[in-house]
Amino acid sequence: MALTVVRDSPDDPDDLAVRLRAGDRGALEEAYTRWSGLVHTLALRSLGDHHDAEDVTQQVFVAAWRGRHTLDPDRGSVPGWLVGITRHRVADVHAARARAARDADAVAAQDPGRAGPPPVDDRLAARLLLADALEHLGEPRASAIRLAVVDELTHEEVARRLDLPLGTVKSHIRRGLAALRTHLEEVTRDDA
Amino acid sequence: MTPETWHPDEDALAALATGGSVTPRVTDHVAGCPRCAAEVEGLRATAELLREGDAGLTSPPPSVWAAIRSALDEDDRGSAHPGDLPARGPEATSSSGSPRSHPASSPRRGSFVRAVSPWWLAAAVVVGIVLGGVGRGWVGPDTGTGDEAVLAATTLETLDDGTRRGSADAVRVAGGLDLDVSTEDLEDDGGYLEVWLITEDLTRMVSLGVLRPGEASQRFAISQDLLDQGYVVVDISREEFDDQPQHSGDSVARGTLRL
Repeated sequence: MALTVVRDSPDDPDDLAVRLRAGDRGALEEAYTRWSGLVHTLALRSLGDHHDAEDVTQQVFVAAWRGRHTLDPDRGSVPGWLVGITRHRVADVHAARARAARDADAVAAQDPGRAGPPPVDDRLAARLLLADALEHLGEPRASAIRLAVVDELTHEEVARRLDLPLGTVKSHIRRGLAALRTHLEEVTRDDA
Repeated sequence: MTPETWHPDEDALAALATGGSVTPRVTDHVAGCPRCAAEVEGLRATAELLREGDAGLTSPPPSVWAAIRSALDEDDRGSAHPGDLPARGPEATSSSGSPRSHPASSPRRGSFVRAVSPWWLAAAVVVGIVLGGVGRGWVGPDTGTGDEAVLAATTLETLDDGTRRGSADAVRVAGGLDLDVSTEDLEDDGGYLEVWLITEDLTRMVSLGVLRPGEASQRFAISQDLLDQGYVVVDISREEFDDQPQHSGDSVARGTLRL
């Protein structure tokens, strides 16, 4: 499994992780301010229900606080860790729904629409995490990535628009993409 | 530099992954080099997800943070010390209660059905899976005695090392269901032992009653409704004689009934 140290953000998530681990309630509040939208959106899209999504969001941050000793800054970022907790909570809700459906339909014929809990959408989790990470990549790296990757401009065109040397742009794209990829690995690696 | 040891630099690989222009030498190399191909693939997957983008994030309402803060404040006041040990029992809080109906409500002390903390849930899920496998093995059609039929059974084991501490059977009896709890070697440490049924998704719990000291086996009335609603985790906690009616967080044995 790929274990990648994530240390490429101007937000200094390491500091936040360290403070959170040390039991700083202010750090939790910062984490909430910064990533509750990410957690809530992932829950909302996965569950399709506002109430369940709010329950999960609450559970995730309470669990994060109580389990702050499990946060290892060397093993991943705070948002990756939060997304991992979120996916487990979402899976719990899906499992509970499946059980409820099974109980309700115990005698009735199997409803094909309820064949089982859908897996938590890895792609959705990764996309939200990446979109969020891109927002906080810092400039001009974030712009270089947006122009080259999202808008699919040539590197030469990106360099012209940002008024930067081509080599600098290439370096920003390479380093930015590599930093973002570590978030992807956090979502897709073992999290059983 | 020989052709065998040459690899394109990272800028070139990133360019290839993002549709930038690269020399034929780079393209040819990557086609035949698993290491560079994997690198490009990883970057390309990242780029694809970035391109898919996202319509934006939906923030939770303020009541959610209020509920979180309230849960943590309760931790600070409570007798349990949440967070230290993920495998400990249910905590003396109503942390995962419904934020929508009681966004900042005080904990529902003394309420019969209580919320259970998420960390404890994770641990219990693991235990449930392990014990479920054990329990299933000895639920059989021949376990009934007389007119009674065992609907489900489980061993009760300690959380830390899985030492067997007894068993629990859901038994159909005339007029309803009983939970037949047999225990061995349980220490009450000067307090008392309380039996709980907890939902398998671990969001709610019900107290069944207190174990009589020194008695090997004891029955508690339960209902089919409880089982149907998912109260299938049997938990025995060690309680002190105090003003805290909720679960102490000190689980001495646990198992999951498989229906």
